[in-house]
Amino acid sequence: MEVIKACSTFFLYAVTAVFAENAVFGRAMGVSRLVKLVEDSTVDTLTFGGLLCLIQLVAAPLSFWVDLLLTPLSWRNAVRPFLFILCSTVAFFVVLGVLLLIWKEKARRMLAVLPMATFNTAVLGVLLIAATQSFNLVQTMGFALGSGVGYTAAVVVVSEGQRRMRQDMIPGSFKGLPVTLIYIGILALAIYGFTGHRISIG
Amino acid sequence: MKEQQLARIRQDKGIHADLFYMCLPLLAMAFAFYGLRSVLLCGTAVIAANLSDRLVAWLRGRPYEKGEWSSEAFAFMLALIMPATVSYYVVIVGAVAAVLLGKEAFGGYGCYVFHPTAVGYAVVAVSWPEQVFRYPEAQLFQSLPLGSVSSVQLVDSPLHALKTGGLPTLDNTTLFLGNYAGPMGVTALLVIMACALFLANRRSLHLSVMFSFLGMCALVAFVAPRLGEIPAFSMPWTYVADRLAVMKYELCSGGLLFAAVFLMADPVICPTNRISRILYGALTGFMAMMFRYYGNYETGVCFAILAVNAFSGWLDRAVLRILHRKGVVRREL
Amino acid sequence: MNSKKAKYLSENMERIARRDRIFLNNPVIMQGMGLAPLVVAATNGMNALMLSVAVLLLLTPTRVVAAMICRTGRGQLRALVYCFTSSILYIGVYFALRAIFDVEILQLGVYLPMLVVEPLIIKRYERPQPERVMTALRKGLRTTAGYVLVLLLMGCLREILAASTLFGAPIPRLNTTLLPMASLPAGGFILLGVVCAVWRGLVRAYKKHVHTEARRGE
Repeated sequence: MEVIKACSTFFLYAVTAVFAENAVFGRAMGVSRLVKLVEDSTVDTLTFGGLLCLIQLVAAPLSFWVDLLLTPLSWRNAVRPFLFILCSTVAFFVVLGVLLLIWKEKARRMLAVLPMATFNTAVLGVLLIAATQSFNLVQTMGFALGSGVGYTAAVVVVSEGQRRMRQDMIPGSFKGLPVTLIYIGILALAIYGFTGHRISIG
Repeated sequence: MKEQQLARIRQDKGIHADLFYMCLPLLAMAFAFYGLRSVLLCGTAVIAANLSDRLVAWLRGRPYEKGEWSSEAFAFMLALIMPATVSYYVVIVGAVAAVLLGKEAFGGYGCYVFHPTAVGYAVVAVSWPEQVFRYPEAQLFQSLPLGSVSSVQLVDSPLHALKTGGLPTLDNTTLFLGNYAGPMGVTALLVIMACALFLANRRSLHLSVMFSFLGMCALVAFVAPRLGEIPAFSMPWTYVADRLAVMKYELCSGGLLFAAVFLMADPVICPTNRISRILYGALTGFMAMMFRYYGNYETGVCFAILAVNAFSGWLDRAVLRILHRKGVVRREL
Repeated sequence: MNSKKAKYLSENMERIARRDRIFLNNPVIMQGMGLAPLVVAATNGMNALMLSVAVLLLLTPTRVVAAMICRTGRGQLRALVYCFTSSILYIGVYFALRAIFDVEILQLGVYLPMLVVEPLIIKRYERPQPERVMTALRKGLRTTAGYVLVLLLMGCLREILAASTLFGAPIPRLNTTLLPMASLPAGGFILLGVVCAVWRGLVRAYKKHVHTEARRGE
């Protein structure tokens, strides 16, 4: 019964993080990186997204336990980013090891993307939100996985939007970043149809 | 203006003009229920859209394209899905957002990726929900104040009862004539159906989109009605009479029929082949019902259109790829 | 503009634009850096001011210290160097902000600590050549200036549109909210997109003017 309850909590938080509290559309986390990814066809979106999810899944439990240790300290807000980056670094090396073990030479292509997938606002932001909103371990894991999946979905959706847009017809001043931001903003408005307006500052 | 854009305008010539003209009977009904204010609101929206178009033409150093009525049509439709008590400022912001953000920022006619009316509606609905989702009582030959409407009592739409698991207490005549509190142009269902016939006859409306959209909405309402008396996950062949009643009210509310006829018909957004159009209509219908069931706003159809517009290009490509796969018989669709 | 100046600007426009991190090559407008705090947290003038002070205290020191460490150490660990440098410096920045703004900084939520891994602060690690310390100092200060300008512009604009106030003070004769959506992330995205477009339009107009003046002088 406890296992079923934990699984349903995990999936609820994961699905919420993918849609209603999407990392990009709801919280603008990782948007700078997303804009670059969408413009840069050399980085494979699914590779980046997959690595991001792996990093999230490894870093999330580490950050949860670290945050438990920080709870009695009054200056935890100051050191949290440092310790969570430490957790992300551990996750980085774990995922690096796994990639080299499983894929060996093929993993080299992924290694160039791994630092970007580790040290970005989408990863740190999720860890910070889980900590500040006092999620338990299962909620943290679900939220982390959902955020990774939601971020990847957002990159795919925005890339699809870029493909549809007639770049030669867009006014010169709007080409590139401005129209991409407007596109993301309109999709964020659509998501408000579900969530209503709630400032997701964390 | 580039040659491709002019060619596109010529190709779609008349569709948006037809949509604009078909808004006039709905405006006539709104005038009958709410008075001159409804006309002024729609006029304000159309003028704001026209001026926005002219501004963009000036900024881009291009001649203003007189025969291109899409902006005016988008603004007119936007005004009609507003309550008659909405302020003129809100209507102007909506119309300007629809034209500048929804259409011109993406390159103008033929290049927009989201339905501009849905963009304008989303902007004002999120900004001023207290104005957009509360309505004056409809009454034949009443005349709302032309200026401030602070003295007018605003109510929820009777169809709001669906949100709380109840059934509205409207008779069929009132329901189909639109004599109840709601957005000023979307309640007169008989008029909307007549407009649909005209638009279909003029080939300005793809019936495949309309029917797939409404069919999916009906299916969701029938299989999973949000009526408290029907237990969740009950079999579709139980409580049939109640399900049909809920289905009737669901299809007649939230601007679904208006969206099916006026918003889904846009030639730029709509996919190009029939199977894609059917899938697009069905997906939009499903999303519209999900937004209505679980979303924050009872009129979720515009938000659903925005969400599905993000995928309609991919849908088109996926269907064409499957159809043109080796071994599949090619048919002209 | 006199023709000699116009000719000089025209011939060196690319180099000048690259160095001008305030107007011609603003890090937000031209490169899309630092978007998360701008879109979600900079909803009013005070938030923008707090973020500006945070960036002022964090960006240049991070870049300088990381440049010093990278010149001495292994290049492969650049990402770790930049991130750890910014997160350690953040500890001091946090206490400084608490001293200046007290609990107001809680309004920024997770977007204050998230600055630590913002591309604006750490993106330099992606380039393999170690940066000279003086270059890091110069570029850090210029980038800070450009980002702070956009932060304050967006914060003030969003506060005026959403609340008809500026740093909490009501604006005289403005009794209505112009665009409540401006305080939401969706409004932030759209408004930033429009501001970027207008800014880029002004940059293009300026460059066109310079080239026209230069040609006229020939």
